[in-house]
Amino acid sequence: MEQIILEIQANGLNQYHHIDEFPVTIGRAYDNDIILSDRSISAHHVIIECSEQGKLVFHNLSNENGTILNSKKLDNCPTKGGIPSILNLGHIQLRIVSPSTRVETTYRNECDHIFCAMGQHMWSAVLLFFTMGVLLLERYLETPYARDALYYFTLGFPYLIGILISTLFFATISRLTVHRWHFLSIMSIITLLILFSQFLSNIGHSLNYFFSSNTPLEISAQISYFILPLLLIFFFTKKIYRTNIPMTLGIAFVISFFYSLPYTLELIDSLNIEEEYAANSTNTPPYNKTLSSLDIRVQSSLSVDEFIQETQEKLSQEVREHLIANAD
Amino acid sequence: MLQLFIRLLLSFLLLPIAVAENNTMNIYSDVENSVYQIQVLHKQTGKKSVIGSGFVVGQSNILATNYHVVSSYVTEPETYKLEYFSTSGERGSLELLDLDIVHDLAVVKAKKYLGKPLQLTTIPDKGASLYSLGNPMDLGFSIVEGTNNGLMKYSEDKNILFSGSLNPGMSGGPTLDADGNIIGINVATSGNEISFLVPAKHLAAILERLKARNYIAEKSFLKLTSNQLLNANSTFLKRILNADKWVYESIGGFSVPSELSRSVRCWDTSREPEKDDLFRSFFIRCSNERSIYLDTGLEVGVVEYEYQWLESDALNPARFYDYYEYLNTSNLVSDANQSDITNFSCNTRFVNVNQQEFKVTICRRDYRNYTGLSDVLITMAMVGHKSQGFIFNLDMLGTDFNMALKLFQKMLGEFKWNK
Repeated sequence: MEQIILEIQANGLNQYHHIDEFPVTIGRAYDNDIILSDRSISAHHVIIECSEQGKLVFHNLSNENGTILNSKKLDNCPTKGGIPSILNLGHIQLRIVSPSTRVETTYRNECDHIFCAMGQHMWSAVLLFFTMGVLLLERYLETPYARDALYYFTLGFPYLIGILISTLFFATISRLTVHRWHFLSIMSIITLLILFSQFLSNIGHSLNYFFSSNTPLEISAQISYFILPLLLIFFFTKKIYRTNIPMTLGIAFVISFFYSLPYTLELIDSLNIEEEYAANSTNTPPYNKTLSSLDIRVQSSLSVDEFIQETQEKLSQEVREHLIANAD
Repeated sequence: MLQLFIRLLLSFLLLPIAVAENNTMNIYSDVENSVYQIQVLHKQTGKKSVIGSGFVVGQSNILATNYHVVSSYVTEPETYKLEYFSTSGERGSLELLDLDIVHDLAVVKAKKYLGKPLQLTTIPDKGASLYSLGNPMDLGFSIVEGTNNGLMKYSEDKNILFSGSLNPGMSGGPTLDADGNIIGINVATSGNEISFLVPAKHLAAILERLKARNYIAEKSFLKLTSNQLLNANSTFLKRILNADKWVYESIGGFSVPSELSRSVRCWDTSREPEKDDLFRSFFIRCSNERSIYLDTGLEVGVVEYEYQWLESDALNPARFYDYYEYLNTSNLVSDANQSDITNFSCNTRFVNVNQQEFKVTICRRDYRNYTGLSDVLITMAMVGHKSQGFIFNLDMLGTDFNMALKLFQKMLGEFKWNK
């Protein structure tokens, strides 16, 4: 008589039954040997027997959702199956393995990476306060009026609530899937995303002035909308949940997709607008408007006459090209 | 005895009113047969797209009207056709002969006799009664009495200010003096009895050149209008550039030219300070308050410039520049779309103006159908000061690019740093 392990797959933590006595009945009714409470399971769903040759034999009893053995739907005749096998009953998936099946190596729960440190109370709190500080500093810099602390507090409060709510959202997903909250780590990754975005936008702005061009900020914006969330979520998931690379990539793409969705729509919109109304999207020409108190720049100053002459030549040439392009 | 006196008094008081009524009635009946509605019809649907008024002048088959009444026919002759419609309900097709886009006039010709040509005359004295005819809102031919307030000397277009109520649909209709002669052509209104007339002499000029070439139609109207616009623009700019003296104004640390000519008006549009402001800002906006109608949504001839000074003792440089950059923006006020104009081309550089460094951008876009005509946007912001900012914007719609640069160059030459 063969001994088998019946693995009932659930999100995060699976259930295991040692089975050494046959037949074993599986179903939702309470007189079964193994009871599965899911509504897609019939009262008496399947019976597993062991033949005289020691082979497993499956009897499907379910008329509702039936039984699938190794991707093959069973009829009402007894069917033989080997070990390991995968059994699908309604919405539930079961795996039949031998007790001698090797398990994966145990990982050491050590803080050997930055994401682990971010899961600690002190570091996540430091990160949260630092991020809030940066956000409030931004608001302070763009307010040329005398305002009291309460004003900045009311400005900062929505950010704090936003961070906490999104943390709770992702922590709940984490709890439902892998039975761990990872609240602090998730909060830290969200604050890191905000911090890096701010950092990139400031770098972009300074480079815009440095080169008198709009391109650096455009590039840094695309990075912080699309690449940054993908990378952060990828490494976070890989390190914290220790998932394999295809799965990590999948998770990173799905979550960052939702984050990037508004920017994606905006990008598509702007591309369309550029095609349809390029000349007149707002009557605002796309010149570089950045100003900087530090005044660090590549270009040296021209005299008025030099500038006028250069502009006359450059713009006459460019507009001629526009007109020719249109005539074609 | 008393009764007789009152009766006499009443009849004496009513006499001028009766005379005025008589005059209006006479004028209307005299010219009624020489006034027409001008219709721009869509060729496919046959329905009216634009209406205006017109009158017989020069020859018995020639009508004068406004350019803006027939503009859609001028720019899209394959989509629209022109027709006249008389007070008695007759209609017939019209051919465009000539136009003056700057003064908003057009002359069209019918195939048959339309009526007795009305005579053009000079502008009467200020205060004289004027009679304006037309078909307001397509409601039927009307006559409106008003007062002559003379030429607007300080406006760019030098139209006649008519204190009477013109309404849409009366555009292109004649305004007559008490003798029934034409002194001007209805062109625009600002409501509240403030209306504008094009002086008849501009129509006389068109009629003269038409007569000289035997009333043959102009060949290319787009070329004609481009040239007229460029001429008007260069006349205006040359007058400014060659003016003996400009008016100057101090704003913050700079002395800058304000009214470049008498037709340019400058207004203070500074933000009203509030008690928790950590900065002071001043704003002057100047405009020639001119717009020449080109086509639906397209108005050119505008020259506008603005100066903005920003300073602060309380803001640190980072905060100051955040707000300074927020103010540093400029755009053209225009409804032009891609079919009218090219994309902008811009050049941004740092330029030394009177020992001060500025970040200067000049942008240009050209009109696709009007050769040589450009929209120019110039914007510059002073850099290198921790708590002082100065922005100068100069916008010109429908101008010659090189002339615009000359004006800009001359204006910069007049910037004086006082601090």
